[in-house]
Order: sequence, then C-alpha cells, then structure tokens
Amino acid sequence: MASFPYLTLITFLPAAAALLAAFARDPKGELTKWVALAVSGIVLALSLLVFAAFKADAAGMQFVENHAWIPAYHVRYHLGIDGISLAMVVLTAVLTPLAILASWNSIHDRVKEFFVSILFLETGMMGVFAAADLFLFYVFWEVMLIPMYLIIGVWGGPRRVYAAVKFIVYTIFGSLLMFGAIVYCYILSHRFGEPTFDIARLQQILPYQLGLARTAQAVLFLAFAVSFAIKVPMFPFHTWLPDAHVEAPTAGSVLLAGVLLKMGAYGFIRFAVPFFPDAAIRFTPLIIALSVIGIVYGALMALAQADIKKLIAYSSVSHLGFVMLGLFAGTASAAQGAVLQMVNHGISTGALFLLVGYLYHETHLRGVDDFGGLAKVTPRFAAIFMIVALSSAGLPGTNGFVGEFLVLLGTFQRHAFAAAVGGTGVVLGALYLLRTYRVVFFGPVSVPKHEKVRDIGALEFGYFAPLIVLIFALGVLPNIVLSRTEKPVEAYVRMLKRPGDAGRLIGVRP
Amino acid sequence: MNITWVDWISISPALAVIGAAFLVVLVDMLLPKDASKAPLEIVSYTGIGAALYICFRRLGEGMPPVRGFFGSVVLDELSVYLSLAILAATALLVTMSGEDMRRRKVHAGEFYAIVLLAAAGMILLVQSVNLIMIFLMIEILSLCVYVLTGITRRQPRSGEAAMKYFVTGAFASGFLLYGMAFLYGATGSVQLAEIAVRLREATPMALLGMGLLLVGFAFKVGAVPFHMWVPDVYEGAPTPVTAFMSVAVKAAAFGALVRVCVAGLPAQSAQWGGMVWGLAAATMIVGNLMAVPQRSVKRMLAYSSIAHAGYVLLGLAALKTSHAAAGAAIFYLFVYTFMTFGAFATLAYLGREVSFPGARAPEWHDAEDLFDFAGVARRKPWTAAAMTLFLLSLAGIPPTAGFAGKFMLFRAAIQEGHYVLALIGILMSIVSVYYYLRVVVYMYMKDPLEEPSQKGDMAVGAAVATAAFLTILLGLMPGTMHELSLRAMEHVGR
Repeated sequence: MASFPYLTLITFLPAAAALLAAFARDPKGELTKWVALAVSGIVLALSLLVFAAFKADAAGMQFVENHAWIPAYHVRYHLGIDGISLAMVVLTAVLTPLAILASWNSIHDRVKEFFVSILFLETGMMGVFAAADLFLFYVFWEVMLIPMYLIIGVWGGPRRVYAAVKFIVYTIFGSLLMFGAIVYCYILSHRFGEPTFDIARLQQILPYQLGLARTAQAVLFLAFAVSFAIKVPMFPFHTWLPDAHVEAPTAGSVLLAGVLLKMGAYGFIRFAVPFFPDAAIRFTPLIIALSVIGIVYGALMALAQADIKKLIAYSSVSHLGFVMLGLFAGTASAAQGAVLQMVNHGISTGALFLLVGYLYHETHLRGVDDFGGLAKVTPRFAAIFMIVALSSAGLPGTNGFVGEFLVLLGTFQRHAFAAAVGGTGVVLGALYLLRTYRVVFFGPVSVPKHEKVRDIGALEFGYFAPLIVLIFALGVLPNIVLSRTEKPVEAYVRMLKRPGDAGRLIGVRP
Repeated sequence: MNITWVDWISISPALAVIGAAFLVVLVDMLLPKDASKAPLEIVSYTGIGAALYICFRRLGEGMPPVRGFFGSVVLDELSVYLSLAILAATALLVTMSGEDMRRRKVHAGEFYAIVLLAAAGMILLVQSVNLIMIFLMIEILSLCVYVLTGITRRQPRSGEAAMKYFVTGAFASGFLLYGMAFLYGATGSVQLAEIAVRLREATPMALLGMGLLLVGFAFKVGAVPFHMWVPDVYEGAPTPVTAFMSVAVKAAAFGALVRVCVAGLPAQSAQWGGMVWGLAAATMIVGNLMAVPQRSVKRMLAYSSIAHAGYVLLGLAALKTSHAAAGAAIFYLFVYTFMTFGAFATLAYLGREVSFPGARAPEWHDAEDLFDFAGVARRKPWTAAAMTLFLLSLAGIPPTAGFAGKFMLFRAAIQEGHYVLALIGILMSIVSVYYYLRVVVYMYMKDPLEEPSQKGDMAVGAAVATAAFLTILLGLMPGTMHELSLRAMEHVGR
C-alpha cells in the first residue's frame, strides 16, 4: 500500500496549521483565515487523491499506517480507511472549507481563535474516521468535542452557554460509558493471545466470545450503542440537538449536522454491531422502533417549528432516523442506502444550514413568518434554496432520492410495517420543506426593508456551487459512493444475519 | 552497630535536600536585609537537582534496592519513582515562589528551608519500611506543612487553616500511632517485612491495628469520611502551598500506604482490600458531588483533589490481587502531580493586588472565585489555554496525562473484576466534567469584569507552562513512566 502518509497528513495538517496560527501575531485574524482556507483546501485535495486511488474491490483497510505508540498497552498509531470511512473523510474534507468560507464575513469576534478551533475540529473529525485502533479512535472522539464546545459556547447565539454545556455533558456521558466498554473489550481480547486495540482484530475476536454471557454482551453493546445513539441522535437522546444547532454559528451547525452526527451512525457500523452482533440482533426491534419514532417525531416537530434553524435541526432527527433504520434493517440495499444517506444528509443539511446562515447574516431574522416574497428580491438565493430543499425532501434526480429509496426498499423486504411508517417521513419531509419555502419565498414581500436584501454574491456562490454539483452528481451517479462502500457494507450486513449460537458451536462461520 | 557508607547512600536523595535546607538558612543569615533572594533559590535548586540526579541515576540503571540504617529505610524503585513526583512538585514550588512570596509578605529564608525539609520528610517517608520511621517521617512532613499553611501570618484565613490542619492532623497521628502500637503488640516487630512474616493468621488485635492505621492514612490523604479538613485547609493556605501539599503530601502518604499494605500486610489483603474499597467508593462519590456546587475555584479544586484520592484508592482496592493496579495507582499519582499543581499555580498566576479601604498596603489575592475567571481567555489566551488543559486532564479527557492515568486505573479495576468501583469511577468522571468545564465556560464564554488586568509573574508563569508541558507530554507518551511504575511495584515486598 502507499507508503506516503496520506491519512496522517489529512488528519494532522489542520492541527499543525492551527498550532502555528495560534502562535502567530495576528490580532485581526486575517492571516489565520487564509491559513485555515488554504490548509482545508490542501486537505480536500489530498482526500480527493485518496478517493481516486482507493481500490473499490479490495477488502480490508487501505492507506494503512501502523506504528507502535504505547507498547505497554498495545496501543498503536494505526490509521486506515475502508469505503465507508473514505466517504466520511471526503465529506468532512468538502464541508470544512465551505464552513470556513461561510464564516469569512460573519465572525467578527475573536476571529483567530475561531479558525484555530475549526482547524482543530477538522483534525478530530478526520481522526475519528481514519483511526484503525480503538484507543486512537477514542482519543479523537473526545478531542473533537472541545473545539465544537468552544465554537458553540463562544461564537453561538444568546443561549449558547446552555447549549454548549448540554451538548458536551450529553456527549461525554455517552463516551465515558463507551470508554469503560472499550477497556473491557481490550481485556477480553487477552483471552485470544496478545491483548489488542486493533479494530479489525477485535471485529474478528469479539463476536466469537462464546464464553461471554448474553447479559455481558448486551451491557457492552448498550454502552457503545448509547454513546453512538446520543451522537446520532436517536430518539429519545436527541434533546441536545435542537439547542446546539440553533445556538451554534453557521459553521458549527454545518459541521455538527454534516459530520458529527454521522459519527454516531459510523460508530454503529464500525464498532457496536461488528463487536457484538448477537446483542445487536437482539436489540434490532428496539432500534428499528426508535428509528421509526425518530423519523415521524422529527418530521412532526419540524412541521411545528417557527424558527427555520430549529426546523432543520428536527429534520436532522428525522433523516438520521432513516439512516438508523437502514443500518438495522438487515439487508444490503438498506444499509447501502443508509451509508449513502449519511453522505447526502451531510450535503443537503449542510447546505440548508448555510442557506439559513446567509439569510440570518443578511436580515438577522430566521423565523419562517418573518419572511415573504423573497423570490422576487433574491432570485439566485431562491433557486439554490429550492434545489437544496428538494434534495433534502428526496426528489428523484437529486441525491436524497437514491438514499431514501434504497433504505425504504431494503427495509420493506424484512420490516414492511417499519418501512410503511417510515415512508410517511418522506411525505412529511416534503411538506415541511415546501411549506417553509412557500411562506418565505412566494407571495408579496412581507417586510418592507426586505426589499433590499442582498442576493448571493461570488463568495456565497463559492460555497454553494460545490454542494449543488454534489447534489446532482450523487443523484445521477450514486455509484461513485456506492461502489466504494459495497464491500464493507456487505461485511457489515453479514454480521446482522449471522447464524445463532448453535450454528457457531458447530463451527459455522458467517 | 556501625553506620557505613551504604547507610548514607540509602538516604542520599533526602540528604541532598536536607543539606540544601540548612544551607538556605545559613545563606539567608549572611545575606543583607534587602538583598535579592535569588541565592536562596539557587541553593534550593542545587539540592533538588542533586536529589533528582540521584533518582534518575537509580531509575536508569535499575539497581538493586539499597537498605540502610538497620533496615529501616530502603532506596528502591517505588521510593525513587514517588521521590521524582515529590521533587518535581518541590522544584515547581521553588520556581514560582520568588516574587510570589514577596508579594505575600513571606520571609523567603524560612519558606525555602521549610519547603525543603518537608520534601526531605516526604522522600524519607516513601523510603520507610519500618513503622517507627513511617510515623516519624509523617510527623516531620506534617509539621512542616502545618507551618507552610500558616506562613502568611497576617491573613487570618491562613492561620485558621493552619490551626485546623494541625488539630485534625494531630488527631490522625494519634490513630496512626495507636494502630502501629497494636500491630507491634500483635507481632512483636515494627519492621514491615517481619510483620508480614508473623501475621500469617489475622488476630483481632492485628486487625484492629490495621484498621486504625488505615484510618490514620485516610486522614492524611483526605479520603472520605476523613476529608473534612481538606477544603478548609486547601482554601485557607497560600495557593502555592496548596498546590504543593495537594500533590506532594498525597504522593508521600499514598506511597507509605502502598508499602504498608503490600510489604507489611500481604496476608490480610482481603480485609484491608474491603476497607479500601469502601473508602474509594465513598471518596469518589462525595469528592465529586461536593465539588459541583462550589463557587470558589480553589475550593472546587480542593474537593477535586479529594475525588482524585478516590481514584488512587480505586487502584489500591484492586491491588490486593494485582501489582498492575498498584502500578496504575502510583502512575496516577505521578500525572496527578502536574495537572493539579498546574491548576493551583494558575490561580496564583491570575491573582492581583487589591487595596481595601482602610488597609495600610494593598493585599495579594489569588483568582479564587469563578468571577475572577470571567473573560480570562480574552485577556490572557495562553493562561486560559493552560488552565483548560489542566481541567481537561483532571476530567480525564484525552490526549492529556489525566486520561492516560484514568485509562490505566480503570483497566486495572476492570481486569481485577471491580466492575462496581470502575462504574462509580466512570459515572463520577462524568459528574466531574460538569464542574471542571464550568471554569472553562467562565474563561471563554463570559465577559471580563471591569478590573484592571495585572501582568502575571514570570516565574509563576514558568511553573504553569512547565506543568502544562508535562501534562500533555505524559498524555501523549505515557509509556516510559508507566512501565517504570509497574516495575516499581513488582519489587515492593520482595
């Protein structure tokens, strides 16, 4: 495999730049802005190189880097990606520069610190997806929280402190439980020779722990699952999300919705299910039920919101419900759809938050009823909003359609009722998005001073254009993602369809 | 009964420090009254440096333990390991004290001499393998720390703290001595190794002695329910002294406790294991929960240091079956030294002189209240970053030293089947995130009060920076120090 340390560069370049920028004398933050943009651009370029060089038909991790870190505890500096992590790495690399551009003129206070935080956040996010060592993963998982905490708490809206504390307390509650489970997994692996934190090795060992009691398995699975469910967030662990989203600055919302929520789903794919498949199968009905509730509840709550940002936050709960439904439906097409939907949601919801952020920056309003007739004043903005809203609602030809369709199709084969109820989420999704669109953009201009709202310019076009391209590209050619995620997704689904304990006792391996 | 070279070698690190202490008194007498006190610092550094040199030499070469003074002290890997933490804390204290003690109107000569004597007592305490030695050294270090607590004589709070500390400390010493007397009565020996041999069967008298001894130690390390003195004393003492005693006294007392348990009472591990289990659970719960409502950061850190004593006790509870657990415990003491010292030192760094109406001269005030931290990130971004690092480390968030320490502790506890204790530890860590991050909220998310910002003292800043550097270094590269801690525990009790 490539000896060039692509993943190390992708992961640590932002942090290195952030450290340098922190030491630089740059009171206005202009230099830091440019550094942040340049570095995130380089990271994007590197990740596209990796995307191009990635071998879709090869099994296992690629671009592996493996060095000893803490030998006494078998902790290794071990990076590597499969198709799923690849999709997430590229998504992160795309969204970060866009978030930086969106903050270009809207952050006025402590500019330097803001961009330093964004860069540290990028390192944390990349590390989570690139880590092939459980310990290393946990380090990144926690490290990432601090910059996000600061971004919400320092540059957020009026209730930012409450939102930031709620965000971090919820997340750390989950992650410390997971930490206990991680330590326990490490100790368990000792029964099979050298103890290890290697994720691939643990995926081989842990499912075959015949001696591991069902209760112990269930407890460990839940420790991981609760942590990830908080992050996703699954109903009923979602209450931190509307607060965090509403209070966070635009860049924070974009990265929170676009990347951080995906880490929860990613955690299920990478750890919770492959480590404890039997427990996962036992909890499947519960998780499917919660996902369906999340879909419908999120959509209904979105329908009831007067604040557009809060509306999008609740729509995230609904969309992530689709992702979780697809992941636990137990069919390859549903899981493929779920992974694709993870990418789609990052693009569409990221774009929606950028749009609301722009609107708020121009008017300092973001209530649905504060606007009217904006299509006449800002036609370009209205056009982009329309495309994004339709993609989020899953119109054929846009990315959202393929993902939702695959999820529902795959789910229908095994859980027809769940698919039917979940399907209403699609309808409701179209309803709340189009209704909002109608109120905001059509009719007469409701507020006189909105006659002079500036339409989007070159800078805004710079960050909307890539997303629009991706919306159509993935809508027409979803295979650029699906072909790369096929192998790992199949492996994942096999874990959910394993023979029971009896099958394994006579040596049948799935 | 001749005293030979070997005896002197066995106490050589302490000798270097004691020598420096005497020299400090001498030099202080010779210095003109208003001269710079820098020579005193140089003398202190020399003594500490010599002791550190000896310790590093012994670590590096893995030498066999040296016993001296008729088998009452031993210079082995455990003592060297903990001496490193004690000496590091002493060096940090000396670094930050020059200008700081002048502002607090403390006489420098006395201060350095007493600090060095306390350090010598601590070093000898972790070397002691004899009940009498242990008692004497605890008394020496305690007396020095009582004085240090009250060293800002003009501040009533400081005097009150010293008095409280002295009374409760004397009470604890009573327990210790009583316990030792019973153990001696049960076995006829004060040597830990002899006691271990003769105590195959636990007699009621020996158990009573052991229990009293544990109570005494629990007082000294501030474990719940013997923790009442900690918040008042830590809050009342001058902040640099608080920093010093919260780490060094704890390292020394825990070192002696580990040695008594492992070397002296191995056969009774079930009994003391149970007691330590209860102490650990209570200490983690009460320490963390009581830290939540505190408005004073200094008092919060005092409760947090109680909570951390609980984490160390968690390692000791798992110790009865595994030396790895004890290794994790003393490794935790090591990392705890830097993060706690750093946090307290930051309080001193952010302090300011306040003129009270009617007072003759402005008085020095450390940043103690949460409001003193409002907007620090705006005025002093690096200080805020360092404080955040210490708090994150105390909360056990990677990639800091505190995380490495907690990881190793919880691993040991789970490995030994102490699931309940590990769960309590994890749940209480979640609680701790809340109160540690509240300081971060104030530093980053509140606006500063209308107060003139004073420039921090360079020397204190240097101590903060050093502690921050070590906190991050031990977080990223915990390997060496942890392996040494394991090796140190393997050889205890042989």
